[in-house]
Amino acid sequence: MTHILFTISTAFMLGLTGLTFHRTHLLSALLCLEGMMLSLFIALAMWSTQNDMMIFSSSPLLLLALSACEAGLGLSLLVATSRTHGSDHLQNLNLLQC
Amino acid sequence: MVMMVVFSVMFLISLIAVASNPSPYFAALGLMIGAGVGCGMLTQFGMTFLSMILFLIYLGGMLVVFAYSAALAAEPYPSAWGSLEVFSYVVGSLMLVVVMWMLLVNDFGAFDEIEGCVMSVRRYVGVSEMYNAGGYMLLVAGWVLLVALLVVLELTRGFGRGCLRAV
Amino acid sequence: MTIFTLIINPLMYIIPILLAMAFLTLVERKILGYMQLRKGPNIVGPYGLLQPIADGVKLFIKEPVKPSTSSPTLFLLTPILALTLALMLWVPLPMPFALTDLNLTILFILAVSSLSVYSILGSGWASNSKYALIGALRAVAQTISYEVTLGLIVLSLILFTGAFTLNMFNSAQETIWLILPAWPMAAMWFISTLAETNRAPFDLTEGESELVSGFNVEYAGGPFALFFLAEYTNILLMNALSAILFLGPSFNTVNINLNWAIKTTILAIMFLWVRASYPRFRYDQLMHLVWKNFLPLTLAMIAWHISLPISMAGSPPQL
Repeated sequence: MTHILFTISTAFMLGLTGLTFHRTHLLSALLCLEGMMLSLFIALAMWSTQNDMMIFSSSPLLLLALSACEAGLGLSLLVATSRTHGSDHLQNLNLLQC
Repeated sequence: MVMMVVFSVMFLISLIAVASNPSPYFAALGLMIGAGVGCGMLTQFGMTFLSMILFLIYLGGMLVVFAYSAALAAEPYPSAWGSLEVFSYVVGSLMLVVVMWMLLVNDFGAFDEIEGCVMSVRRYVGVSEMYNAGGYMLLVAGWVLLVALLVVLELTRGFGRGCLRAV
Repeated sequence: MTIFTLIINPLMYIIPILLAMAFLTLVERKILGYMQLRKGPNIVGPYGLLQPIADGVKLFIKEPVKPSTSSPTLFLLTPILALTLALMLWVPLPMPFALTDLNLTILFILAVSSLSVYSILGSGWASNSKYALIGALRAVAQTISYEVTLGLIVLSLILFTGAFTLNMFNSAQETIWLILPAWPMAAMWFISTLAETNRAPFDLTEGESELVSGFNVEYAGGPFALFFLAEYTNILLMNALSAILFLGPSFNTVNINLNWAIKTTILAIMFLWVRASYPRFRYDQLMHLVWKNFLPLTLAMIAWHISLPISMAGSPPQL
């Protein structure tokens, strides 16, 4: 396995473990998601250029647009929940009433 | 070559810094460094346009908003990487990554070696080929962004009560 | 050889920029003074010419205060970051030869200038004070909102010129300045640069009456001077950039540098004139201006600028 391949896949897995293991803040969950998106972007860009498939070099841009959507939606959910529930702790979302 | 290894090690370290879940301020800082290093990685392989776009959109646009929300969310006792819980996560994942690196990585380089002239050709063809081949998909992505804008507006509308920063 | 490329070259670049910025502060005070029928600084040196140097010496020998509750590393790091970014922005500018000639100059400038938001946010957060934090949040929201329109305006100009390099702007404006065919973009660009550099009438970050001085309340002495330098350097840079983008300074002229410098100076003086003339905006008006007026307008103008060269069968200049 080459070290770039290793780096990208391990970075993705690190983001995933951070997302699964630790659930206090909604914001840190979103940041882990962003880290996964970053490694996916780099992977797609490397993949399209290193295999000389320039046709696919728009795929990382597409991914970037979608991850921007995801970030915007996540942050707006963060704002909405912190307005209604008082804080951005994920635990608060599980409460039956607030 | 050496720069590539340094960049990828820094990238892994910054992702560990994010994934070990410190307070959101520090996680945003780690992701910022990671994004910068990622741009460096892409530039090393000759993808200057994509790396610039990543820099502009990701670092200049999205992460700023994340850092903004992190600064908005007050936390009386923020935990950096020095605190016990976060530090255990850092050490654990660092050991895991080092062991896996030793087991799995056996050659250096991305997929194959590239030469200087190929890099410049890539840089020259890159942007036009990208817009030519993926033009319609990018158009769809533009509409998706517009829909996302409206959805965000609708989600955050009407929450006049409550506070943004609870100290 | 390396000492020349690594130390002397950047120094020869930095020192004139800092000098120009120092005299910009003097010009600002003089012009504001004469517009209010007073004289401005005129004691230190002939016509007050040595005033900026005296100011600089005073600021740098003052004690830099560090609040005990602040987060010390970030507090000291952010002014350095601000000045570094402000000086890095000058590197790819063609005047007419750039220090580094980049392919994607415009993207580089936009990317680096968007990084300066981090210095504002970091300084406001690190000084751990309510005023500084609120000022920083306001400044950041304003800056990133106006960055959107800046990027879109530049994009439509790029569709006219056909390249991301600033040199191509020079060749594209061989026969006509871009301010004429793209005057709505020029007007919006000028207003957006005013807002982007936090100048009056958009200087809501340092509203003296409600937030004492914005994100740099807690700074004094040297670090404050670094912020000050960065702010004025950014103003000069934005004006230099708008001169290159819209006024076509370096083609078919006798003295390219002089031409460009004069246009930049005129634009900078317009900044000062605006400051002397207009009262400060309210914050919601500021946000409405960008999100409800500039953004739809620039999006429509991008569609227009995409379709115009295609329908007129006029291709941008090819290098």
